[in-house]
Amino acid sequence: MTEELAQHKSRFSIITPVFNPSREAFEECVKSVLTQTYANWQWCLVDDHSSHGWVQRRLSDLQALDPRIRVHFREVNGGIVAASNDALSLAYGEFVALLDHDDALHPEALEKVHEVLLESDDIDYVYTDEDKVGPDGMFYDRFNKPKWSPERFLAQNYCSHLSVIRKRLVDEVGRFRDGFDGSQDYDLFLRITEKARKIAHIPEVLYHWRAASGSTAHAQSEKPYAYAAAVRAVNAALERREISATVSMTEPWPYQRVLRSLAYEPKISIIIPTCGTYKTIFGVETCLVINSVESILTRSAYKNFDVLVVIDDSTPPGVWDDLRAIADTRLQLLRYDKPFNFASKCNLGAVMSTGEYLLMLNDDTEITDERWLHTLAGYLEEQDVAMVGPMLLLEDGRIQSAGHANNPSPHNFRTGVSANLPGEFGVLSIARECSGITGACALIRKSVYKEVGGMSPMFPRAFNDVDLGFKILQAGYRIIWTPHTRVYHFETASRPKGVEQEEVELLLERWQSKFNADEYCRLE
Amino acid sequence: MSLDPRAHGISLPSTPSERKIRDLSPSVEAELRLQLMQLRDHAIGTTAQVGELRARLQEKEVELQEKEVELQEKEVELEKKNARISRLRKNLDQQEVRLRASLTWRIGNFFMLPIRILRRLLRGS
Repeated sequence: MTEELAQHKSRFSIITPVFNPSREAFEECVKSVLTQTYANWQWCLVDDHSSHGWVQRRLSDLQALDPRIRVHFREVNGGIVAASNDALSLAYGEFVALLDHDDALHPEALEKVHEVLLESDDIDYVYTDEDKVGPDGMFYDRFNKPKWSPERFLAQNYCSHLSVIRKRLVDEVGRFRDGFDGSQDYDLFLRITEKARKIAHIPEVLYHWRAASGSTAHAQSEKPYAYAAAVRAVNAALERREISATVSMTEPWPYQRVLRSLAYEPKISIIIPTCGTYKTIFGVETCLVINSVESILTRSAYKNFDVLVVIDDSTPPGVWDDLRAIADTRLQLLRYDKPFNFASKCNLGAVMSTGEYLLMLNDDTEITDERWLHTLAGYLEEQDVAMVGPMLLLEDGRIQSAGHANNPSPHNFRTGVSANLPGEFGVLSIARECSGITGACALIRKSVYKEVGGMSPMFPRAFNDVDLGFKILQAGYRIIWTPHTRVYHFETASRPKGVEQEEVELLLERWQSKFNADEYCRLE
Repeated sequence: MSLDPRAHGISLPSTPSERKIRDLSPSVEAELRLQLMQLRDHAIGTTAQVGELRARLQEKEVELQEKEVELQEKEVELEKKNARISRLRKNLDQQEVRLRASLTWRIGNFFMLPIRILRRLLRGS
């Protein structure tokens, strides 16, 4: 590729609707564009009939100052959608970069995007990390974003700034739309990402979002109409994709909860390995497996499931009898007479099951949400989603696991944190892609479980779920964690405590490069 | 192939009313399925291990290349330093020759001659 062609390919049009910005912030914005290290850009500014007199004078000056700057003055105020579309009409670049009138680009923003675009001709959309800039000029709230996560994107517009989109695609999807003011960019991104051939993420802060009074960067409650528009945008996206779901806000947090409706109830085989352990739960000495099975059978609204309990030989005979006593035809007992191996017990349950989906469940769990299976199975309506897990709670109601994270090494994310907090950038209050979920409660497509060889018996005690997650990701599927259903996990009663050194070594041999390189969870 | 255990000769109650609960034991076919699963895991695991080894090998190769470049740079630096030392030594030799040939040196040498003779005699005794 010639240098000339390469330059032509990556010419950017920066799109900025302007309406009565703070003068100081606007000058920062101007400075950030004029000092870009990559020079092959065009800046399209549209004044949306600002009432501050200096705005028009300054924009005219800018147009005279640099031939790359094009300005249009609207005769009436039309709102952000109209102004943004007018700015798009001025754009001749191959890609458009969206910049708000009081925000600032990192000096190397366009250069870094240009470099990424040169890696592949198929990239249609690029987004980067961002932070906020306060009135004192200090940067804060750095958002280390995940790699492209479509489920998370339905819950929040995490891509937001900086977004650079192929202009042809923006025109193809119909540019910004009326009726989505405040979330017009989110609506556009949702339509863009449905058509984009490749989406790239640059894990560097290349955009500084001004936290001005009245902006959502300052406080999420500043623009309530924007959140209503976000729900409309997601509803519209689901309709286009022909996904039957209900969308609601995760009050009090400003994110969307998408719960899919099931076209039918696929059969779920719940596999519970047990050795009949007793533990004091909520102050009462309890046989864990009995408690778990009882909670499933009595509290699940889902109809099409069976429960397969894989029982060690060492299990007290009374437990077998008690299980038979509470059981109905949905329960099967499967004897396991080999030395302890948690993975093998799960695999045995899997081969003996008849469900389309498998739900791996530890015996030290308790179900409280009657819609838990509906919620979990909903995510598997997406064909590239292979595994999904709920928020797991400790006995005291704090989080036991919010999925797995691999930085610096695989662990349960946010153990011990309050389940009522949203987490950084909503991470605990939205359904999202992750690198793995704990095997204590994981719904998995049986075909995928077989495809990846199930749980590895080479991890008899620990890390079998971590290994399974990596195998699933490697096979090209997504794994989802959701806070929209919660399951108690009383922990460490389903298997002997401790980790064998061999298991650690094998995990490192198989997956060391994934350690400290979690692309879905970069918060740690 | 059906995954229903009844399709593989596993005895189950004919109607739910006969027995409320079903106790299963794995059939030979189920054991084979387990082994197949295990083999798949082994193949995927081994591929992952090979991938990791390749990645580590590449890392080491990059490290080695960097070290080689570093070494070459050090060698060039060393050569430069050696050349400078040679130049300095040569300069020093020339300075010494010039010094010994100078009138000041020869006069000083002449005046110091008795002292040198005396010192030699004292050392001899």
